[in-house]
Amino acid sequence: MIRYSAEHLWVRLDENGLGAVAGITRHAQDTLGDIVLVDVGARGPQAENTVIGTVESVKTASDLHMPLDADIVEVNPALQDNPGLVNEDPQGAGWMVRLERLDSARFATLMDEAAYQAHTGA
Amino acid sequence: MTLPSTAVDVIDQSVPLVPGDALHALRRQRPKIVDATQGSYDAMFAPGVAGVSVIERLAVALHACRLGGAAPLAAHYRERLQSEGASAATVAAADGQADAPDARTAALLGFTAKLTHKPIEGDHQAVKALESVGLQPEALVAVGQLIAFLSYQIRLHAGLRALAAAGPGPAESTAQAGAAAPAPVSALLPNPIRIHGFTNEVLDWRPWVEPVRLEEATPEQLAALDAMSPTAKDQAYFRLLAHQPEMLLQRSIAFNAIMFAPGGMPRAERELGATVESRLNGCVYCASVHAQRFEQLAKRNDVIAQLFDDPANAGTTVREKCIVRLSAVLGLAPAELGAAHVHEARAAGLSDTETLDLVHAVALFAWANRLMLNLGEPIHLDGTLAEKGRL
Repeated sequence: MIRYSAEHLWVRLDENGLGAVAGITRHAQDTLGDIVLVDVGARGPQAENTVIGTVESVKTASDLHMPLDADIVEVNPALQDNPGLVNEDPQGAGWMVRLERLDSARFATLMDEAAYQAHTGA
Repeated sequence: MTLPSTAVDVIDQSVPLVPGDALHALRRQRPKIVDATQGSYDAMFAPGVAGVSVIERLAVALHACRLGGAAPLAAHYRERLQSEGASAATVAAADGQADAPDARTAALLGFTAKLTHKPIEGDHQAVKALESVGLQPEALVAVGQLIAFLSYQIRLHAGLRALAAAGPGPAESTAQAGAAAPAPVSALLPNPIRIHGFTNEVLDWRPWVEPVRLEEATPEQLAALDAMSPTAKDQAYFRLLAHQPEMLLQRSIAFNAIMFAPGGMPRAERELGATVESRLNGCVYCASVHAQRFEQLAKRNDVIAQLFDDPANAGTTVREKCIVRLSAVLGLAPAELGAAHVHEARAAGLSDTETLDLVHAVALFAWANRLMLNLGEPIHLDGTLAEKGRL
């Protein structure tokens, strides 16, 4: 199951419902252009909307906001050498953080696909 | 394909740095930069570069290093120039000890002197002067890239010599590197900032030399553009540099490795170093881009306004003032950078890893500014000419 935040992150729940992975949306990477750096410095418990890092493209630098309360337990190591994975496969190989102990009630209230499409005006 | 012209690393040889030295090891913490620096050197002097001979390029290199006060690098290029069979008159002219033996050499050395010392004086007439002695776009880009690269090489050499002269620094832990970034101490000033011709507005750039036309581009040119970024094909600057694809490729690798390498000096401070160099060289376009990037990363622009107004006194913290001062000395008078500047940086909280990151960033923009200032001009998004920077 996948949900979206207003700050253009997607969150995909693991099948067991205990963990999730998150990254920026296809719409976000389209808007940013070619990604040259993903720098996520935050680890451990993070509150929703906390700035957890930065994503830089050839056009701009943008903060990454925590989509919901959770623990960051891993940052995608492949992005260090190949940040372009975010452009190539933003909702697959370009994932950014692995989350645990997430607020499942909050997850359920994040936007679904249709709501996010409406949010971006697509 | 570019074949290595030398088995040794020219920077290691000229500083000198040898395996086992702490500074040799420090430099190897950024292996992509080491490789791209040597790769750029190899591309600059590749035999296959059309329109400007290896002897002419080595003469330009010797002249730039003499003017830049980098005696060990000058000695390297003098030796190569002589081994290539250059005439005594050409070597003497490149060494600044005699007039150039012909109009073409005079034009090349004159262009070298202008770009090396006062890149802001670059203008369309200087490019036309080179065209008048027979340089086609491919050769013009090669010469522009070469002189710009030499400005980078001279500053990297100077930075490493200063670090060597300062002796070993305090032991660094992973936690220390990058941890001492200045706290934001002031607010965002109203945008846009416009001071002395410099701005943080978005600008565009117009070339004076015909860029590569995509429909006529070779596979190597297209590959170099793709390696830069999928959107590089849309930008006149990169299509212009694609006249020399291997030089463009190595420049792009160096750029990404220097500006986006993880750890070490915080990204915002690298952008500040780039902006200092651009401000002092009068590169309105680069100053604009990297002032924007600093602001995006640091969430403030107070130091940018200070820098545009009065670079000698810019900086909101001791650390930031030190970064600006070190960048300014390295940018304007690399031969004057010494151990005292490194000691000052250490006292201000910079690790040697961070100082080397700053040296790389400033040196890189010594390179980038010279291309931007001497192969074209900044324009507003509506196509009107941007104001010229006032130093």
